[in-house]
Amino acid sequence: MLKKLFAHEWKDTWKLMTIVNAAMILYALIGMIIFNQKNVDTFFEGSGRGNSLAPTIGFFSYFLVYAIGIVVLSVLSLLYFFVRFYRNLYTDQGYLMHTLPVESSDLLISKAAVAMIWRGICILVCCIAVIMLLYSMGGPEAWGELVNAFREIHMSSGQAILVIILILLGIVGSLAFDVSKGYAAISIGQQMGKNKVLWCVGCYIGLNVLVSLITNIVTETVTFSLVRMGETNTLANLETAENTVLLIFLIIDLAMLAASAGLYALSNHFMKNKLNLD
Amino acid sequence: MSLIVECRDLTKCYTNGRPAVANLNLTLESGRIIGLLGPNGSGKTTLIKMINGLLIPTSGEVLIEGQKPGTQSKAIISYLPERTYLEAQRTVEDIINFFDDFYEDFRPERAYDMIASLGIEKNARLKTLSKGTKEKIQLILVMSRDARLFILDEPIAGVDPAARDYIIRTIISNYNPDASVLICTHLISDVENILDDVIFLRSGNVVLRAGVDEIREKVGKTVDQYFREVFAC
Repeated sequence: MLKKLFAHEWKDTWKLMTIVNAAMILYALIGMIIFNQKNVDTFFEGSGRGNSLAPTIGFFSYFLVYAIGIVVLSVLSLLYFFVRFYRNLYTDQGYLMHTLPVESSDLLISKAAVAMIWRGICILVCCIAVIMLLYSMGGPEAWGELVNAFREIHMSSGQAILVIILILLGIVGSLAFDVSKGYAAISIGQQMGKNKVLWCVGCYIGLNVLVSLITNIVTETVTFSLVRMGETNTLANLETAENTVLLIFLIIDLAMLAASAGLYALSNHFMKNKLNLD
Repeated sequence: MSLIVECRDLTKCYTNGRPAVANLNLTLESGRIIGLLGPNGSGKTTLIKMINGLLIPTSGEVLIEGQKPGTQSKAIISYLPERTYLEAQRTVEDIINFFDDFYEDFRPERAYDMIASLGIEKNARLKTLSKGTKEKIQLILVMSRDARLFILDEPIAGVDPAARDYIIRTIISNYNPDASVLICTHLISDVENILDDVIFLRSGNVVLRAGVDEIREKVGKTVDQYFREVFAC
């Protein structure tokens, strides 16, 4: 049943998400053609001599739409999945979804999995769009500098694998955490008698504030420890600092995954044992 | 006849504290068409939603074939709510495929036959159809299952008399005689000819449970007339 739920959720969302992502890539491609290094240099020379305002307006209009595109992909795509979750499970459509012979956990997992995949694709597309534009404006030299900067990072193959695993774990954890916060906030908000949507928004803000608070405390503590290690700048200490940073990343990744699992369990509990559809 | 639904001391209180259903004890047998009747706010929809697992009881329990509402009960109950629950973006074919995927007892050929008899295109998007047509599609989906219990909440409310006749015909011609049908409605005169039994609810409690023929013989009135007498303001 989980597979079927996933397939239907995917079918209901893929068209819109594909259009939005394809539009962003296409727009970045247009920018890549228009704003290549040569054109940008000409533009700045032209504006310096007080030529027509048209290129300036064109330049800034493009970047305004570009910035909106990035916001749509990175923020509104997540909001779209939250609204879809709410409408699909807690409004009239919930009368169908909650009378299907499926477990509430399957409903939750199928929706979360599709939202996470699309969220991942949207962020990837955002990164590609930014890289495309930077590449076109900076030219091959800038790209070469960036590649060289990466080459200067000295790591053993074991460390490199560990870093890659940590990055992948961090991406999955962060995607799961983003989605689970929203779903948990919506599920908690549904328990209130009145103003349910307002409660959902309030819970989401509350959860984010709590997460920021914890993140700040952890960051401050870690920075303080690393600074202290740096004061006695021996080779042994540097190695310890590197290992400490990796360990901290591992702890953060695992904490995000654990928090996501906890929030999913909370959402599932409300959906299974406290469901009260209006 | 076997028991299909059993409510034991079932109570549901909303946030205002007043019980919508209060210590209700009720059993429904298979093979009957039962009318669940009562004035507004008598707890009919609340009771139906608890049977379907859409509301969690405050106390007491509801059992469907001896089990609490869950995946097993949802597999044997075909429920028509009083509202439109279909996603407007989907086509008629999409939604038939959706039902076919999740309900083992769903008969798509039956659904397509009924859809064709109404002249509805299977590629039509639900958002392009009228409210009445969407309600008919919803009923067709619900009645295209070989369920053991059909629960129909206000199936004929808000539609014209010709559509009402179509809906009642659809119910009679598609339900399995071994199954039960629980119909909740205010339009008693339209459905009373197909009912075997009636349950009168007031303030979340059963005030009467009787066979339709029994009411006619003993009281000498139709169910509609008797309802008006019992619930006269």
